[in-house]
Amino acid sequence: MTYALKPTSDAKPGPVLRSDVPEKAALEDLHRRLVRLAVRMIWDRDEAEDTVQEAFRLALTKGMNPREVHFGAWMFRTVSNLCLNFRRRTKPESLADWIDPLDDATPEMAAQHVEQLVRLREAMDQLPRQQRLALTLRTMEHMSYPDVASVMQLSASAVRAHVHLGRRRLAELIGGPDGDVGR
Amino acid sequence: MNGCHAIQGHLDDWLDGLLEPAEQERVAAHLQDCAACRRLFERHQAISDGLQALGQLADRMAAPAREADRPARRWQRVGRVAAAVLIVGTIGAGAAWYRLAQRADSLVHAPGGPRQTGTIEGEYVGPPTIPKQREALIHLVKGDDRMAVRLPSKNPRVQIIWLYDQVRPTVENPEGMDVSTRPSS
Repeated sequence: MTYALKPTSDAKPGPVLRSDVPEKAALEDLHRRLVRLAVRMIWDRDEAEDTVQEAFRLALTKGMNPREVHFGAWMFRTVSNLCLNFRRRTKPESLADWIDPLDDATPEMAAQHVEQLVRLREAMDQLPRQQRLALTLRTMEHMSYPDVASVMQLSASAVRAHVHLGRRRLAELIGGPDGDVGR
Repeated sequence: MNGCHAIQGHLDDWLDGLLEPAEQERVAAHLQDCAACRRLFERHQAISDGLQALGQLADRMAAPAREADRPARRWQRVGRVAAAVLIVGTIGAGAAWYRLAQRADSLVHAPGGPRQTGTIEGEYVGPPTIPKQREALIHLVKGDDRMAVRLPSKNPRVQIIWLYDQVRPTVENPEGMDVSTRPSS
């Protein structure tokens, strides 16, 4: 039996602007990361772009300054909240379109893989908001616990509890003694 | 097994890569011996792996060059738009047809209005989606060649009235019909 350690990540929500990075490049990088987060939460690229656009509009309206230390965390929090409040008008994008065919040996395995991921995505949607967000930021966005805590405005230990409870709830929702949902 | 509760509290830390090496060894030794904890750990590990796989798919979706990578998606979008136009068009045509049929029904059953009925032989010349009806009990509802046709129904409580725009009667003046008193539109 082998247990692989999961890499921790240096994905940080902020600060956005640094002296060594041009302002335009920094904002573009932030935009890209926010779109990626929104896609992970609502699974629709166009809606994700709109959501991030709305977050930037809100930042402008509220006079937020990208040079502020908390600007990045504020943007991640705003996009997260918009995504959690998102009312789906269309079906989420099909995961089958995005599976790399080289990842699976046979079409049957690919279909099974897609089915498992679709079930997991649906189970994520059923989680309480805090657990869903904590799991998304920690396990999909690879943020450190302190960074997730700054986005969610919680303590790191509270975030860990949400991640733990979220994983447990997902295992229950996916069901089956094996809980075979990934690879 | 003794210590299961404490071990289970560390499983997520292991998955997050936050366990100290010594603690890892202790947990791993426990997992070798305890099937229940091992099963729980494997389930949580599967969930973590699945979430990572989902995250990678989201990365592909969010990549700026995705449209160029997947030209088929553009056609899917065109197809969705075409389907929406088709649905809206169908609903619009259906609504228009329904209004016509309602109007025909009200004309046919207008109190005191002329109610000409009779058997007529007609040749239907409309689009093929409309059922062909060579013989039916008909009501003339307006001038020209528009007619409301009562179609035979097996259920006496159901009345089927179909408005034909393109019926060409093969009998000019069927028996029992006063063509000159057709209700006007």
